[in-house]
Amino acid sequence: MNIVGYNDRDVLVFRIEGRLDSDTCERVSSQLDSWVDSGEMWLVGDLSDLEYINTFGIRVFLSAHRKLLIRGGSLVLFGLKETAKEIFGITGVGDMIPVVASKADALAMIQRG
Amino acid sequence: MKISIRRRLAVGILGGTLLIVAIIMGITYYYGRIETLREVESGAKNLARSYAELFEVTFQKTAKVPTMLGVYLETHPNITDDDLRSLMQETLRRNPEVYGSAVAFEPNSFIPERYYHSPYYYQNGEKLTFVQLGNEEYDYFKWDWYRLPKEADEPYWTEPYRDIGGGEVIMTTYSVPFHKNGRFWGIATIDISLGDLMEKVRRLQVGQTGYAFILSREGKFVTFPKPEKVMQSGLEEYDKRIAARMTSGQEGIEPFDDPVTGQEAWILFTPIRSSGWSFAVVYPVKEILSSVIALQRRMFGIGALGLLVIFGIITVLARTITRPLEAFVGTARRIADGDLDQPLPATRFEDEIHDLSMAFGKMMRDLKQYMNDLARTVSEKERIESELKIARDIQRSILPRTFPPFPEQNEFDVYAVNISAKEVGGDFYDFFYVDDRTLGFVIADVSGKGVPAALYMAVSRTLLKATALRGFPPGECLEKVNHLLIADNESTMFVTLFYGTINVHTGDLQYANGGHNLPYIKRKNGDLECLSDAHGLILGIMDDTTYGTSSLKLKKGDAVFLYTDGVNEAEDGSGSFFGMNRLETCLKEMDFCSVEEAVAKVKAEVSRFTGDAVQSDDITMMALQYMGPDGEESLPPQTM
Repeated sequence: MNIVGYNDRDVLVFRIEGRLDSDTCERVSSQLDSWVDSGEMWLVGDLSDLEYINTFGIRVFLSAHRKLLIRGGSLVLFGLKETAKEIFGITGVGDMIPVVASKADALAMIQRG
Repeated sequence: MKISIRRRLAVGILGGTLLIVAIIMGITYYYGRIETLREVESGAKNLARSYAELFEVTFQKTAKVPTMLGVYLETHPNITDDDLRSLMQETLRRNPEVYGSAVAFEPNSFIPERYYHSPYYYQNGEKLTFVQLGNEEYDYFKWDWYRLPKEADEPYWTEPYRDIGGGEVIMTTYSVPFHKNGRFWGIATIDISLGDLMEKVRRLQVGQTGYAFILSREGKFVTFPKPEKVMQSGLEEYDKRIAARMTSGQEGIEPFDDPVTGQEAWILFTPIRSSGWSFAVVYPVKEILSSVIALQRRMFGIGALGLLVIFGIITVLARTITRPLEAFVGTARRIADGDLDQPLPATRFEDEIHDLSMAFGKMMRDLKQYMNDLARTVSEKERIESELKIARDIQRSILPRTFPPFPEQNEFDVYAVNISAKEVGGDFYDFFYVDDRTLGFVIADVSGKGVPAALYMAVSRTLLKATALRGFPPGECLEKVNHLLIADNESTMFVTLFYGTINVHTGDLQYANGGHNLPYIKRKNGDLECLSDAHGLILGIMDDTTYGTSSLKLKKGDAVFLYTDGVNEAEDGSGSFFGMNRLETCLKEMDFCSVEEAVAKVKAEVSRFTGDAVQSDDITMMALQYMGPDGEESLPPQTM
């Protein structure tokens, strides 16, 4: 698992490669927390290289999303693979965390507020 | 093999010193030998030359006598026999070192009727004795002393010979030819005794065992330490090359196998020119080099003494090094055996041993600290592990484990299994009667692991059961539980939960899903359906979430199969998942005989897939089969 963040039009975009499960959720969680704590309102997640996610990963995203919601922002995800879509669907998390098709859509959504 | 420091030091230093001493001795010997040989050579040369000179002087002085006689005869060709005799007598008287003198004439040339004419005077005590030489027995014309100078027309020193009287005195004769009217007339001679000179040579002391000798022109010994060889044989017998050099009048120094002492020697020779003889000095090498060898011996003694002293110093020094080390070895062994309170041996100097001692001390302290820390950590870990174990035991104990759970009921059959991963997980299942004809059943998975997950699971399970027992339909039940979970949920825990109720009399199934894996319906005829219409957000995230209640009718023999994601996400060693497809295939293909068997089959299939890989998540499965009222599998068609 690898997570990197970069700025795109003043929005922090992060990208996760590999697996997000019980072994790696701690690292992703602390990384997302550090961005949230540094005052970001929006976080855009590129999951196009996320090979696997289970409820541990869902929990990490929900946690970050909840903190951003309080601030008036949100976590926005795009690039989900079939397996990720499936679990987002079953758990209903896909209805809570905005999931869009591309980074452009994500940034546009943030522009709209 | 164990090689002690002392031995290594001793071998190294002594070996090196020994080598140096040996080299010094070798060099000293080499140059000492050269120097000594040079000294001996020059000494011997001086000695030989002075002796040769002594002979030379004697020969030259006495050689004047026959020369004078010859000159007189040539200038007085008509001399009478009487005058000649007087002249000879007078000459001998004036030259006492001359033993005898003869004037030998050619046949019939002095007195016509006399074939032999050779007056000869020789010293006989105080008087001179006269002898007329020459007769048939002593035909002097054939003798060397006459014949050789005549033929060469030159003066000639004869080979030495023993005194006619048979004495030990060595004699030699000098012959000078003289002429009358340009023609050879005769020979004038003197005989000289070399006795005194020989004696001098014999007595000459050359070192302890060295000696001098004289070789004649023909190569015969004139003097030699072995008397039987004198006049009998020559140096040729022992060394032809040196003999040839000597007889040819050369001067030189050569190595020589001395026949007298039988040892190696040096021979130095120089010529006595007038007689063509050669004077030689023989020096035994051993004696020449005895001083060098003595020096060598002294040096060897001093060297050995020095080595002994060095050895002593090394021994003492090595002991001062190794003694604390040996003490250290003992201490280190005891430390290795686990005794970290060993006192370290004291060190005398602030040297490397001292540094080692300090390092050792630090190591021991650190080790002790580390071991204490480790012991604490281990006990801490053990405590946590035992607590976890207790948590897991509690968690397991609250799951119903007795099957069949309601033996008096025949309308359904239920079986469930929960295989925990190493850590405490958050899966749970439950089933209970809501009222006398409604059976509630639930399967859930709490996010996270460990004690928090276990606690959250206990809370979720209690809330669900409490809420469900109040008789709400599943959807409403989930809404209430969700609300209650959120009210107290400071952390971000959540739970996926599937809750259903079944009317055991009619087979009516009602259910709601809070984000859990979708259960399957295995129909009696073998068809497999997925309860795909049951969607809903996981519980514990968002308040006021609504959950719909779906319904379905179960016929006799139909079964519900519920599971957690530990099943479809079971991994093999290479990171592949068991997956929904395998699960569906397994369920589809199996003959649904009993719930227990169905669960066992899936479990076996999962185990076969994962092999030896470590189980990372709880695996929970529940199967529920509807048997119909009173357990009659073939219920008569209902008439409404």
